[in-house]
Amino acid sequence: MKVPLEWLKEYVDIEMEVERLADLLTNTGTEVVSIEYPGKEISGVTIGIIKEIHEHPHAQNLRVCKVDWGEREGEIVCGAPNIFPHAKVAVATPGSTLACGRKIMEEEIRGVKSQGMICSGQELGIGEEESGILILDMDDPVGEDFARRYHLGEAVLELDITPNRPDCLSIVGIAREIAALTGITYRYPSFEVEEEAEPIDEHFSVEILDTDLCPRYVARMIVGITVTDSPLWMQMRLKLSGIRPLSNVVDCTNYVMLELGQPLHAFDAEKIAESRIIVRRARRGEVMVTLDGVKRALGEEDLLICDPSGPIALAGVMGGENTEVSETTRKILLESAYFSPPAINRTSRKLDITSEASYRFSRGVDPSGALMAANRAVQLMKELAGGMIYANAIDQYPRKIHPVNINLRPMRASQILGAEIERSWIVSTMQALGLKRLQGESGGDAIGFEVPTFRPDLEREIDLIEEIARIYGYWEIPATLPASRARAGKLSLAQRRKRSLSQLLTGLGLNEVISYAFVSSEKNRYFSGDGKEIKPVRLANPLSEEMAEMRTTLYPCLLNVLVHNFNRGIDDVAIFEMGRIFRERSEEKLPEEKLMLGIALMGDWEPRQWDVSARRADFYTMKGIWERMLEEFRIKDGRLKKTERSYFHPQLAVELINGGETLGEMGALHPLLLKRWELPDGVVAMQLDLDLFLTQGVKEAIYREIPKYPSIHMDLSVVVPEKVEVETVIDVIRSHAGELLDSVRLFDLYRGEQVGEGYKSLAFRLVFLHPRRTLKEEEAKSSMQRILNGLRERLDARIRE
Amino acid sequence: MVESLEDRVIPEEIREDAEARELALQAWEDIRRAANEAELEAIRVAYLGKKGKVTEILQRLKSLPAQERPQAGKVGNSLKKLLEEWLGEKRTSLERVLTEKTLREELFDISLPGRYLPRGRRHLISRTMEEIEDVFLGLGYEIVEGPEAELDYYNFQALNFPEDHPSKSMQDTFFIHREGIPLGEVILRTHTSPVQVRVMESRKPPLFVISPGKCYRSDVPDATHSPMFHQVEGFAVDQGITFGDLKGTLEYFARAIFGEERQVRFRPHFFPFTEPSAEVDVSCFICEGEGCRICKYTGWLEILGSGMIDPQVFSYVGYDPERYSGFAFGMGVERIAMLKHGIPDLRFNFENDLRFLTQF
Repeated sequence: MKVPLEWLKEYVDIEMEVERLADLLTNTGTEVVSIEYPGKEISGVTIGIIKEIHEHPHAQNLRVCKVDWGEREGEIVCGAPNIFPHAKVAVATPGSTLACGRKIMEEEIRGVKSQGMICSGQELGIGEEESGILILDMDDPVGEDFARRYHLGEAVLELDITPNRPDCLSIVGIAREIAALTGITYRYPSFEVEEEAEPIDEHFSVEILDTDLCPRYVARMIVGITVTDSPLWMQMRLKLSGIRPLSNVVDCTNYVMLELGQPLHAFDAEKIAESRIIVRRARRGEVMVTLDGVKRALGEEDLLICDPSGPIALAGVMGGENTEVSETTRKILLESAYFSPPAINRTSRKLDITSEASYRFSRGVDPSGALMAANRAVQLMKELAGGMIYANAIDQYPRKIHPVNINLRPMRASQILGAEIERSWIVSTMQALGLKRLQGESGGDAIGFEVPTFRPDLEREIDLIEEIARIYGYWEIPATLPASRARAGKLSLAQRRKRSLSQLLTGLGLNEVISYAFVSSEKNRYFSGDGKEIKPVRLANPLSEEMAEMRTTLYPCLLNVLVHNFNRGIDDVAIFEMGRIFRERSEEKLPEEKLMLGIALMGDWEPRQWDVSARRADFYTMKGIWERMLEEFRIKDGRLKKTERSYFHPQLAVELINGGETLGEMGALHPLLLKRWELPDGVVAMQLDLDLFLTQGVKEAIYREIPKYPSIHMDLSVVVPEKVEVETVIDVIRSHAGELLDSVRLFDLYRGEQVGEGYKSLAFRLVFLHPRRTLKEEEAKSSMQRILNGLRERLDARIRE
Repeated sequence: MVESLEDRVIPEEIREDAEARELALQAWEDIRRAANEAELEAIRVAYLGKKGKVTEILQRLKSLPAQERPQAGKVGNSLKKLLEEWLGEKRTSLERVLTEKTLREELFDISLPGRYLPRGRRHLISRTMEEIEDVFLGLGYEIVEGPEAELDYYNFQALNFPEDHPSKSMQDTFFIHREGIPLGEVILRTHTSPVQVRVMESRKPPLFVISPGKCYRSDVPDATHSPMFHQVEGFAVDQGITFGDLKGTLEYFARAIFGEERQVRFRPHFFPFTEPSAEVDVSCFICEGEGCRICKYTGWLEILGSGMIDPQVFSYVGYDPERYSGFAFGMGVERIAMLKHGIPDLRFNFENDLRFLTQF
């Protein structure tokens, strides 16, 4: 909300600097977002009067005005069509500055010397693009500084009012808040309603059919008005507050809304059928056209202001087109009501209309303020638009809203806040906030207070404690640490391991990514080809088709990252993501969520260097990562199991198994899938269930004795048919070696002429070890012999010497 | 090898024997001049070889009269030992010179790049989140996570968001379509605060918990909005927890993350689930409080929201608000990371451009 300081000062005497005021408001919960000084550049602009207008000798569309601006008269060339003799205007005299910072000097315009400029609203920073100049009020004094008269260059505070403080959504409300903070007094606008016409209830009636949604409805009527522009001072205040002036009648309603916080609506009373207003809920399927010309479909939860022929306003949200005030309107019915905040909020959200009125109604206006606001506005209308005010107001208040009483225990306040707050200070502060101290009844330590109806946020003791803290000053409360029972901060095993897994993966050269968890339905479907049907979680209100579902796997997210980088010339990408995937399940209210690790490798794993050639990332790179992960958590039984996935290479696709449990999968992505994503061949990917993986393996490693005796290394080279897998060979080696074999490691794989087509040569390093004594060479050799025999018999292997 | 013989200790028996002395001086000169291993070997042979000059002296012993033999033997052996010592020294010296020479002859270019070693980076958001977690781990908090797809009950209702109140529409919610369940009952959580309710519902105080994680709001991505972002929620519930404790804890946190010299400011604010509520600002570390574009010329940066847990929330989880009190706070991880690292656009965090990721 924007608050012109000059306007605010009408209701409270502010002595302090505006910056101090802003700090005070901010530190007590009314955040001052900015302080601006609209029109602060303007200087030397003076109020003048056009004495005479002459044709310009050399230009058809220009005229020469003789203008008196007090200290002197001068001739000014002007092109605006709306000038007329005796108009009061803002004159930029020679040497003056406009809002945009432009300096005005005497200059010759097509052969005529112009001694200044007559300003438009835009040039003064207070109007939109208009073709004409700004016409001032007739009683503006010639020779007075324009900026001073209209308070230009004075501070306008922009406040961020939290949703619990509707009482601060007005100038008087802010004045009241400042008064409570500083101990000074504030005042309401002073006026008297000059009633001249007959009593309103002889000519108009109001009937409330739904008193829950409309507890109070006040109406006043004025006749014989002339709809025109409102005076400049009012237009200026509205503009500085962020509201566009429309006409004197509508401006009056907006002005009083800004002033007192009560939204008002002006109907063209002659357009209300039978001079009768009925407040009721909309019927199912009912429609109405609002002021903005939009046809609105309504439901039973929406409240309407109707006449006997149908809706004339969407209560608290927007007026109807059919009763809108126009230039020919002569008679006004002014509405000042209290509507149920949730109802207005619901309707305005449902129809997606936020108006100044609905903004206030849905937060809660002061039900006690309705009559005063109506009086204020109708009197202003009379002053600005003429006419006669009907005597009395219609004030239907079937559901009276009573002030709330609250007991406050000062001890409790001190306990919650951690600061000793004096009882007497509490009482005086509450009174400054407008609360009444109740005598008697409240037992013991407690003090009883009656809360004014403009503070709907104060309902409970804790609400008053908040007020105490706010006014006492958060900065005054000493900072402490909880003197609580001893405790140790600690990560769980899974949390600790998740961290160390991240360390491991980054150490291996992978970059962590974080993706939006939404993907398109199509992209989800690419990765549901493992036989089991995966049901995705669908959003009811997605931002776009690209973000319609929650990811069922991490793959689409990983591939999106590859594509993003590949398209920017980054071909070598090794990434991982730890994030949740979502799957539909019928047995629970919430969908299934699983924390997964996803890895994708594209391009070179190691770049070409000056003496080493590049190495592509491939299936075996990914397998190496898997093996490092197993080692990290000392998982002994991790293994791979061949599988099939529509999105993986038919051969390079495996499940990641530990102890019979499938923890995840990895594989080379299918070339056709990669083509569809416009990615290069050879991308490998892994997905692993972290909820399972992070708790597997040895939790605390136990010391094993370091071998004291030397081991014997022997190399073994064997030729086997291509189709024999290395793992099979190793199994045979192990099963024939006896107890002395400590480890087997493949260190060479060779195919070529020397071994013949259909065969491959494998070279292993075997380490033999005796745990309790030095191993004899013959023992190793005899074990080796058994291995060789085994390989020959079982695998038809040839031994290479 | 010391080049001057004067610095050398020559045993007395050699000095007093004219022949031996002469021989020693000559040998010294020869050894000194030897330019390489081969020459040195020749010298060794010439003196200590089978027919060497020293060997000759020792062989002559047999022909000497018995009473001269001990003295002559002593001289001969002493001479042999001395020459061996000198030869050894010279050999070491020659080797050193040779090695040094070889090392200096080989060509190296130390400006060649170091060998490739893998390097990956944690995502900035993860790193920041961990940094925040560590501060609270140090204060004795534990970490509990909750579901990202959440019930409206936990996300709003039990946190005292009134139905049809504008405070609920402050957060634009993604709804999850679920068969057989009314629309709006299952949502993507809009903040990490539902974890408060879940933890309190299942456990008793004292509770000192933080809960990091992803949150979702239906905002179209732009420089300052994102449909997905990260928060760290925290709360402490026990007997006698005060607003002063909230202040102390968050001041400690803010200084741990943004620097010891930071000023910390608590401003009253409104959150449905805390009362009193406070927004926490730190003095702007970019302009040191002077006012700049980042702090919008206020000198302060807003970093988190907090407050005393509303008694209404306690009553939802069955705690007696007269017995227990507590505070809660929540902060946006992206905001903290972006402030600390000067990142201008929220979207960078989720584009995963390697040129961005590897900067942190």
